[in-house]
Amino acid sequence: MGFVQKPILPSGYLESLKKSNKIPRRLNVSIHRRETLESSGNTCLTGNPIDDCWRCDPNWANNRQRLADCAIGFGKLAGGGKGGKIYVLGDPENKAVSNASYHLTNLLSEHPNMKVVVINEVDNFLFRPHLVLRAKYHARFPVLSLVRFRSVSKQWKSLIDSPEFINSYHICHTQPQHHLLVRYKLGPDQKYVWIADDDTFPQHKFSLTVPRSVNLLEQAEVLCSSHGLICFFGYRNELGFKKRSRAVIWNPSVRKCVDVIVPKVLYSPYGYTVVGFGVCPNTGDSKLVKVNNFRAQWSEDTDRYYNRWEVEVFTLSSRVWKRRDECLALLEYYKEDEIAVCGIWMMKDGVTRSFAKMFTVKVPGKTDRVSEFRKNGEGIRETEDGTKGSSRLEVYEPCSQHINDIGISGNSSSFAVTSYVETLLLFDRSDSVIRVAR
Amino acid sequence: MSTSSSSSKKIVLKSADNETFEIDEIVALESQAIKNMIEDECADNVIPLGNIDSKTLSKIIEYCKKHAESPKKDDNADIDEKAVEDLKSFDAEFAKVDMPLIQDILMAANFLNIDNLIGLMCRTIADRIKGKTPEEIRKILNINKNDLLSPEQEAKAREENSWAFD
Repeated sequence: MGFVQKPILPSGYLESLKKSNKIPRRLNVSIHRRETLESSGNTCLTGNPIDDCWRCDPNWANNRQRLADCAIGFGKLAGGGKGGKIYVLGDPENKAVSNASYHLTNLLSEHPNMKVVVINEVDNFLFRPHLVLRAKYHARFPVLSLVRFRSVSKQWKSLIDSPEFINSYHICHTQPQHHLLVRYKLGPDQKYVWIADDDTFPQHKFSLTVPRSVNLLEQAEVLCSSHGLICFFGYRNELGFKKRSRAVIWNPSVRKCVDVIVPKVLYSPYGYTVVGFGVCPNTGDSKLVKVNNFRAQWSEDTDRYYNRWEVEVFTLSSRVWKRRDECLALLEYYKEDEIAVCGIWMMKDGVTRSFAKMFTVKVPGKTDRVSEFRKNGEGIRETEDGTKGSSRLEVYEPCSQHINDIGISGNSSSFAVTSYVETLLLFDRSDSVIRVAR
Repeated sequence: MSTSSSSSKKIVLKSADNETFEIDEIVALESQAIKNMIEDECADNVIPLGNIDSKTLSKIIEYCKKHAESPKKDDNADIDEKAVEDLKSFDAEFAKVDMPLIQDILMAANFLNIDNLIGLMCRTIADRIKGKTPEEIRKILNINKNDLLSPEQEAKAREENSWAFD
């Protein structure tokens, strides 16, 4: 065999490995080479400070977690496997088996929830987070099935109830079921109808019960649906308060909802408030954005009206409203070639008063009112059906240009249609009201 | 210490019940875990698989052989349809075994890190429990009595989402 080259790692290499979770296996390679080195009579010093750190302790193998102290530079603060549980598996005399234990350690460090790897029970196994995702993905288990599956066994219940599972369902389910929620008025009554947005459309539909807190909202409107959650906005007349604005975030698939009190809403003549809703696609966290538009002010410098905006963002996980000064924006309306346009200006940073023009938007004229689109792109719209004050819902197929009646009639201009997908988000929460906190 | 790898290189696996299986390296490479061992030069001797019995192991080797022979998807775009169909019908036939063996294969495939096989087994189990009631699922998967919720806990679990059982 003869000459053995000293493995000198370039600086930063170990750190990057540590970050990528490959380190136990790579260290093993390194140890394997080291053993070869040792037998050829080399000293502990290699010239590499990371290697020297652990290598010069003859008993290093007794405390492998100390290896984490050897990281330098950027990786020094990385925790890695330090302080974690040490897994012992297989026969240490046997190279292949001890190697397998390294792979297992690797696996466990990457997937801490997989401690049941060697347990001989398939429900533990199948319903380990990453496995169930595949299973669910392939069989496309609808939310309803998963809610029923909770009562199969202890493990199934605790898994399906876990926030990790709920979030991963949200992130990994690439082909969720689509539904449509139709909200309209028939005479004095507020109606809600659910329609399955699949091949059977519009055959499967039934009347839906919304949470009590939605029914209690005055002048409620559906803000939008985002990743399966539908957000309503309105106000409630409460004892001791004139009006108190509220957003109700609702998951119709698991029938859970959260009320959020929206603070400092502007009413005329001080300005007005717009509220938006969205779910962060990566974290599954719900966010409300409140934009306060203060009464327009005249600027003598530019001879134009400017609107001042104030933006606040609410995050469901932290339950607080935060002011976003960096989002300060101005809207500027003027005419360009006789067409109304709107310029959107954003403050460059929160300190200076310099603004940059981000977009120019043509102010849209009158357009046909399309309420919502199906998942296949067909538009759904409300049409006056001849009787005064009465409308019906229609679906428009762009290819054949056919217009079909969906079979729902109600008061004119009362229809709102929202498309949403199935999700488990909010399933781990009990229905609650979140009050103002700063 | 020769690392020369030719297509004819053999890998020997030993099952829990001490049966040995000699397979081509190319077949063994279907397992990411064995692939890592080969890369680390730790696969020169017999690889003991202490938690996989010979019945399961021979099924897994059957799967790996077929998949190693088939052209890989990422090799080129215009892969012939027939090979894809062939592999699909192989997978469908392969999965037609009873539940305990599926469970054994799934656990072994996870240990050996054979991604496609884990997916196939999960899909098979998922298809079999799809649309079934909790009682039926317990029977299909032979879930241990000790793991069941107590009657009170089960009633509570149903109560919490009673709408789902209407």
